Amino acid sequence: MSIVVRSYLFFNLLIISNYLVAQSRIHGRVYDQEGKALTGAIVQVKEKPEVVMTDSLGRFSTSGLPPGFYTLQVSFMGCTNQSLRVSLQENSEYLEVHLQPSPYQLNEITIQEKNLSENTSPPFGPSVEVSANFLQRYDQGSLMQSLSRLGGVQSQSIGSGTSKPMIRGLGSNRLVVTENGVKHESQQWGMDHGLEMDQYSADKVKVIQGPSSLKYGSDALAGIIEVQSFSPVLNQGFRGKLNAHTHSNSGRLGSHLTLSWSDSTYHVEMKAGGTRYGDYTVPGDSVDIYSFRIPLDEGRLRNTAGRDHSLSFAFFRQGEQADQRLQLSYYFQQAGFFANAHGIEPRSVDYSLHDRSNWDILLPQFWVKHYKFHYMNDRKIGSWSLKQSFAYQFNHREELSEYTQHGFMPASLPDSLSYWSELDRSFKKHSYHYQLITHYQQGNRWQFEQGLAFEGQRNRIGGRSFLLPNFNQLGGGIFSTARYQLSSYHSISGGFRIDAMQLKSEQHADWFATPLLHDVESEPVYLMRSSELEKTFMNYAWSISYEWETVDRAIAIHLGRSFRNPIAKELAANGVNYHYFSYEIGNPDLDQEVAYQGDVNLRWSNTFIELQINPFLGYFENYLFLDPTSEYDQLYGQGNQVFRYSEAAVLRTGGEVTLLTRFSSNWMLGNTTEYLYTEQLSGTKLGYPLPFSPPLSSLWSLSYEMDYQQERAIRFELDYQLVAAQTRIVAPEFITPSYQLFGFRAQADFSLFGQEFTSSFQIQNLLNTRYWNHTSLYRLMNLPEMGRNIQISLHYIF
Amino acid sequence: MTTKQLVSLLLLSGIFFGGCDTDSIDQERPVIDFTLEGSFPQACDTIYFNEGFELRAYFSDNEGLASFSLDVHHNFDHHSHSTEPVSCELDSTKEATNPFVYIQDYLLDSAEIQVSEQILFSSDSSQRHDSGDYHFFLRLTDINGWTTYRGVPVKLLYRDSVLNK
Repeated sequence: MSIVVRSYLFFNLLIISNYLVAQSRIHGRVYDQEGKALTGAIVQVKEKPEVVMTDSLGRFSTSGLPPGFYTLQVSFMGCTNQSLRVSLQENSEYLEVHLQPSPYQLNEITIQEKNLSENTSPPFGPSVEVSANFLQRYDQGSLMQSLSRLGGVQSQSIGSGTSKPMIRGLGSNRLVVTENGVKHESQQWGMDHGLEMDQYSADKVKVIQGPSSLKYGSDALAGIIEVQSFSPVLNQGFRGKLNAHTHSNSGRLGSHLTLSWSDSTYHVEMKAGGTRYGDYTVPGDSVDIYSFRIPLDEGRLRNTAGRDHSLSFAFFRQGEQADQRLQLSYYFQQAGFFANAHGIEPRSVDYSLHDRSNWDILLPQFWVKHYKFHYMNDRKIGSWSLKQSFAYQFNHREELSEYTQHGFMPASLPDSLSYWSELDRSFKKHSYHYQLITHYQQGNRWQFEQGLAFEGQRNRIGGRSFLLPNFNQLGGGIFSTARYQLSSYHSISGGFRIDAMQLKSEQHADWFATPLLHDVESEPVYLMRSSELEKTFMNYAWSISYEWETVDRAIAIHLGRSFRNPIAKELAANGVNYHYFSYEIGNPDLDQEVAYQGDVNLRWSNTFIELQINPFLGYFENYLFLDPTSEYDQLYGQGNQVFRYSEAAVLRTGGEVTLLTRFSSNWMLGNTTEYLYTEQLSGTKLGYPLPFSPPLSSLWSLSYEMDYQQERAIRFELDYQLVAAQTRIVAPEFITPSYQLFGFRAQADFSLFGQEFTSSFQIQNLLNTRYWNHTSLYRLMNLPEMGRNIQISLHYIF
Repeated sequence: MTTKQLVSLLLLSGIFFGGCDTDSIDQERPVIDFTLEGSFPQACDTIYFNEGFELRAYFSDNEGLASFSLDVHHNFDHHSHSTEPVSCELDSTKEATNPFVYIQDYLLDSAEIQVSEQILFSSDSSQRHDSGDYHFFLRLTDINGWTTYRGVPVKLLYRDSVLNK
């Protein structure tokens, strides 16, 4: 083994040194007349066909040039082109180019610049950004499933239309999802709660892997998924976008429409969409839960049908001093849970009722509504920019199932209760956010960002089951970051944040009485499930990073500390989750979760290959988790296994390798491989991994792209995914066997009646493989994943 | 050149990701065995109120048993969380009026045990419980929190009502 390693390393060194010798290049930076770096400026070496673009810091590099004389042309829309004569020796030549504005400047450009300047603060972790084009190409029914193609991003799916994000095996409250810069506040803690967001409204999504509490405070331990759903562009007049799609597996039908209008000052946008899907199909005609075999009607998972719709309005106004944005959105989703098992509890069903239609949404089911209001004001004063935003969100979720007498509950629900018998749980959450961020740029070297944020929450529960009490919380934080450009390629950045939060939860008692002892006529009591609780938390986060980056290679090192406030459920839960036969007990003495993570991000590319390697090492001082103990509780737990919120030190390591090879102008081969290792270093589960740890997985894709006519393209892609077995498990998980999947995708641009369309055709799970996904919620019930699915979609831009 | 680089990159990813060993952590669930001679109750067995019976089963685990829990509840609605491959002849569904509920947990401290627990489902004659289809739901944990469920469908009856039939 070691010989292999050594010879391999030697071989690698050879390649690298080979490149260092052979390379002579022209590199440099492009600025505007105010000395601000220009992103996306086009640099062309006249003697070569190749064109390069400047990066986010205005840098460019063109390599592989033999010594000689060259003419460089630098252009940027809105600026006058500039030509330079360069004499290239053995080594490289560094240039600084300052462009002057052209007499006729287009508004479109200023806006685009503004959009870019929103992300000037360093991400403090490896980040990847995908466009609407990517989401359209890899559309799989839910946003997170599309993103799970990215290395280190996983999705925890719940049925066919819902999924929740995971970054390097961490999900729920350990990552933050933002929409246009506002943290999406829903019932993130729930395993079976998806992301209530219209996936077709995303213009681009950025995923930051690494501790990111700096920007959003508590929760962003694993990273951030930033969804941008409003990107105003001026002077476009009336524009529109229509998307329609259908899936063969669940019979899903969906469409999404975007209409926008803009002149030189205003941009107005409306988005509306909806989908409807039936029960989805798995390979095989039965599923086994324990030793109980459940027959399936044509492989359909009973009652997994669902629907969603969304509507949003957005408004942008460019002002003399300040730009303003206003967004309003509404999202609704309703879907059934697999009827034969609620949680891990197998249940018999009325087959004639459930198999009558594949489209009806019967019990058990959930529905959720999410309302969002967001106002943002962006002011520029000299080299300062001041951004204020205010947001309000309301999330209302209800879970419905037939009343079942569990434990000492009465045989039927008494009429005296204020809710109907089907209401299992309901959650209402109001959240308010305010944020102020100032950005200051000093010369070309220093960038500063300061900010403060407040957040309030009001949570109310309902229904016959109890998991967490009513609670309110109020918190705030201040932060400061700085970035220093050491030289044209080196930069260092760092930041610090302090947060405080107060949580108050209410007491809660059972609605039914429990007898205290068996066989004795004692007076039954209404058990107190949680008592009043008031907790105050304070914590801090910091990050430092070093970046060395040229156009074709980069090294970035990030190190950070992040934290997470315990949620009300972890502090004050005291109820039986009958879906999992678990009696869940919170611990009011839990500390804030603190995690450290170090990342190295290596990127190397030439004309043919792009390689990225992102190893990481993370350490949790006290990872909070629901620990399945070996006890049962008769009184409060009604005979169920005790699951207690506990703390453990945890080690996490692994990483991603992404490789892209272009071996001709048409063919491309890509590979993304991800690996995660976790181990609990203390506590009752010493030596065990964390639950829901994704297994080693490698995705290969071979694509062929060809231009035809002028700007139209046709594209074919074949996917091959190999996923290792997950054998490192912790109670109550099951070992998940390895599997391989094939997929196919074709996409073509075409013209009809003088209009431009893009059509795509996809086959997911080409061979109809019966497999299990370790991070899927339905894994615990032993339900296989979706069978073959043929997806056809059509996009029309007007 | 390109091919060589590709191969080397693959090798690199192999080394980078190949470092995991199989661990010696306990991943085995405990076992509830009802197949031994005299095990009780079996699916479709009948248990009589006020007439004690003996729960007889064989429990085992690779590292150590911790506790088990018994939950007896009605199945008048045929909700079935039976884990048994056999299906019993159930009475027709009915509304529960005063269903019998029995919840009890027991501690264990060995790796294997032949359980023989005397249990009495007592029912006051003045306030009789509903008789009919019930679930005899057993849960067993080991010291690492691994659990095994067995849901045995049984009938809970009064001896006199049977005699009257």
